[in-house]
Amino acid sequence: MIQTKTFVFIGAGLEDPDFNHIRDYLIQINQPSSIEFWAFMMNCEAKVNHYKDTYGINLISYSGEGNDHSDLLNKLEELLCKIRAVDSRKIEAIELASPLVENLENNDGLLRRTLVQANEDIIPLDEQILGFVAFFDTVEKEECFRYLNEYKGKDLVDVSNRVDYLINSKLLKQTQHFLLAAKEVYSIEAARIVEDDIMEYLVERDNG
Amino acid sequence: MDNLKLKALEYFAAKPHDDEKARNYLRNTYKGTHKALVDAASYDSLSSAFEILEKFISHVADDAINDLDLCWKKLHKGEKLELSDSYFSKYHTKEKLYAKIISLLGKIRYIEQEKIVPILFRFWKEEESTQKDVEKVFKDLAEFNLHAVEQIGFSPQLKLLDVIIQLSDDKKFEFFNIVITVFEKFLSTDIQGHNWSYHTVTIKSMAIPASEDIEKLRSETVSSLISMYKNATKLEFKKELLNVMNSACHVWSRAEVEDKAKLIVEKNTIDVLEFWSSLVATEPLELVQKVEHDAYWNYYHASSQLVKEAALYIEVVVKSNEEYQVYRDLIGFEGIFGSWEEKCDYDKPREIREERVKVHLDNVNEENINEWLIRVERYLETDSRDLAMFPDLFKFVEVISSRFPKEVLSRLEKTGALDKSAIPIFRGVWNSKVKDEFIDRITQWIDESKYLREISVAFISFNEASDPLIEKFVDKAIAIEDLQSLSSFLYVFEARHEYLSVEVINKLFEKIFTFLNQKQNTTWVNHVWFASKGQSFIELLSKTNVKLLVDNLVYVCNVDYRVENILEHVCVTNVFYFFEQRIEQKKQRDKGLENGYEDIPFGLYSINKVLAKNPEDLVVLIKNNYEYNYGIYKYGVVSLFKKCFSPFEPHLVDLILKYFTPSIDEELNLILAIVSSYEGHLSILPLVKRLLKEIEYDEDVARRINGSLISTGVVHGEYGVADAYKGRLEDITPWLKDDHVNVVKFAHQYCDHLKVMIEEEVKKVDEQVVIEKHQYVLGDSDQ
Repeated sequence: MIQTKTFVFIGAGLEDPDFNHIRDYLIQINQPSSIEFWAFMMNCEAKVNHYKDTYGINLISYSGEGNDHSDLLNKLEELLCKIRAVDSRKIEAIELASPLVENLENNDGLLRRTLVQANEDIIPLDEQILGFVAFFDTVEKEECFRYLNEYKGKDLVDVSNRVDYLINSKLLKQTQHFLLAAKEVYSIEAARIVEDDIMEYLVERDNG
Repeated sequence: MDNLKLKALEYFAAKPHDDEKARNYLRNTYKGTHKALVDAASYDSLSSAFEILEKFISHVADDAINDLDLCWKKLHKGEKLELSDSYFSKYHTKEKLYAKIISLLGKIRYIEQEKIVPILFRFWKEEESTQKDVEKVFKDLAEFNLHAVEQIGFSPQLKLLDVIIQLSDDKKFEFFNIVITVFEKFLSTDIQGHNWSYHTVTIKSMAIPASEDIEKLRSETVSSLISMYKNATKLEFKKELLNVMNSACHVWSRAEVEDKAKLIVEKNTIDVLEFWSSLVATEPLELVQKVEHDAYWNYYHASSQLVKEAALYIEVVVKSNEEYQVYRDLIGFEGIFGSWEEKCDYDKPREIREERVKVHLDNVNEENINEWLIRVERYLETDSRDLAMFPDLFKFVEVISSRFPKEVLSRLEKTGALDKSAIPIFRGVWNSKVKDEFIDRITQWIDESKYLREISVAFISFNEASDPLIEKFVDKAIAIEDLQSLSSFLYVFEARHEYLSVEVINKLFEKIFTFLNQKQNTTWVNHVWFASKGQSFIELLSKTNVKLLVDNLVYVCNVDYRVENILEHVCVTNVFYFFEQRIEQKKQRDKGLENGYEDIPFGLYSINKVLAKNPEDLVVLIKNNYEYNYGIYKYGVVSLFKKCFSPFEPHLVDLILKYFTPSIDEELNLILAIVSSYEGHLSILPLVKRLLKEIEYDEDVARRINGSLISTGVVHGEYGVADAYKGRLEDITPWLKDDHVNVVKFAHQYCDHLKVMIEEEVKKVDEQVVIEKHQYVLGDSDQ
């Protein structure tokens, strides 16, 4: 398994004699670089290079003192976000480790953090676009533009530019005629923010 | 409701039931649905309400159950349903709405089980047409669904078991189909779940666990089945109960079954086998046969010595039932011959059986013949739809009828219980010493219109039946309009035409078919179609009689291989006449709005080869009967061309242009209809090219030719249409360098058109694929 899988050690000491025996054996028959070991370790910045070069183990350092490992959770969450961003196939596994519904409250603000990351600034129109698309999951571009232009009074050129920007930033997907929401936690938050607006919009549409 | 609103519903319906905003939105939406349900006035409004409710019924389950029940009651009051278009009245029926109500209730079967189960029982009782739909919901509730089992275990099944156990015996038999369906599912040893992805479905499976729930479910189900059997009075109920008990004895799962679970099944098996052994001495022989059969196979597949022993005990008690030994020899279509423990030999049972039947025949004598006849009567009560399961019994009856003709005939007429075996009795008596007296008896029966159908079949085996006797039969059957006997009699012509004179055949045939044509009855086809490929009585018929036969075949609603088999025996002129008459018949029937008549069949089995030998006649048939007012219409008579010539053969180009003039607009349409029926196949291009050379080229003609080439027929895969167009493009490209200006012009126009179509199709499919992958949470690079 060690030869074919990626291992992540959480809360495990790396000084276990049996583990070290296997590790040394593998290093003898392989290069350290061919082994995919990752390990979370408290305050270990100084050891990162040594472990990587000698044993092929990638250390991820978190801060803390004594028995306080609370920063480990932040690091884990960060890791899950990164995995989700680079490999959507792992979503199912990630949700198993961190169910979306349970974590919704903790994820409040994730939309803003994501937008800041993409933009260095938060543009309200982005939130509205992401919200509208996330609410319907798959929606015709024309519908989205109509909503933002006719109902929200936004300029069509602005909307078009921001949609392009969000697509380029991989926060939205598109086909020729449709906009598709990213299957990410921030989409859920974005949809929740525009729920009232959309309900009103649908009523107004009904009334002509 | 428009798409955006439906999606908004889906959005809120996906939220937890305690979400305040979702609750308000969905409650508000439900108000409109509620009104449509309680009004229950129009098909369209109900249908649309159901479609909306389906999205979020679990959020409004309480109200929805009451309203759906109210809706059901109102629909049952018999008031006429408003339909937006009477054209759809055949499809937009109350039964469709009932089925939808049941299916909606089925969607909340787990969360509102207590409420919906009694309602479903009532629905099942009140509406026969939707009983299958109700049974399906019970089946879904009773079966082990992997996703449900992971969430809520076996509680739905245990609750349902309690409900059924509480039913009185009468109720259990009243709802027999439901109870049986449910019990069968409870006894399954496999738990399945399905996961759908973009163009794949994954079946997940696990075996039943050895849990207390499963043990209780299975053992109480088996006890209930046994108890029901003890109280059952009808044979068909008992048979069905035995079937379900048998399923308690089997272990099957795609996944490995743990040993403890196997032990539970083993215990159930032994309980069932012990109960079965108690039935052998007293139950009807038909059931004993079933017990013997099922117990043997349980022995054969036994997982343990205990099961083997319990099964072998049944072999012992079956052997002690003496009457069953005779029944197995004479009926025995499921009986087990020979010792169970001996190695299986497929020929041996046959030999054992033949020897034993011989012994029985030797044992029949004047003293005990009545005893044997009573036995045969009892055996004939065995359930069989077509009696095809009793060949040995019928052989036995034929032999004893030839040996004791008077006794057998007397018993036949006295009780009527031997009627099912009348044909072998007649055969036996005909070959007995009292044949002459029997002929008098047959004459008398014909006068009295008795046993006409049996006599019609027995004539096949009656050597030297006199012409007057046969004619008397035919006259009588016509006089009393006995269509069934006449139809089955026609096989006598086929089977015995070598022994009948041509004159007699023609005389009787004319009488019969004049009558059948008056009645427009074609049942005889079922009795004669399988006639030999060699000489048939049809070849002996006069021209007038062949015409009568073809006229009769015109009344057949759908031409299939049976009709074609018969047509193969008539000359080709009559085959063309046959199709002309069908086209006329169709026009007449369409006037009377009579549905279901197909003048030109969708496919031909063999007669197309006959038509293809006469292409000129075929072209004339098409020309004379084409629906010119439909424009380019590739269906109907014109479709015969492709059915006869596929692929299109180049020599047919001249033939087509000999009979059809492209400069005449209507005839050009007809040629293009032929082209269109080939769905752009490469073989049709020579005709198109020749056409282009013959016509005055203009935009309209180019457009029409284009239209007749563009249809693709059935294609496969997401890009099937685009690939088909690409194939067309490849086929047509050489035309761009043709010598003829019209051909080049058309090729340019057609290529451009194809390129646009390919691009649009690929874009459309690309988009569709992305959306589908998105819906199944897959990235662009995923499968």
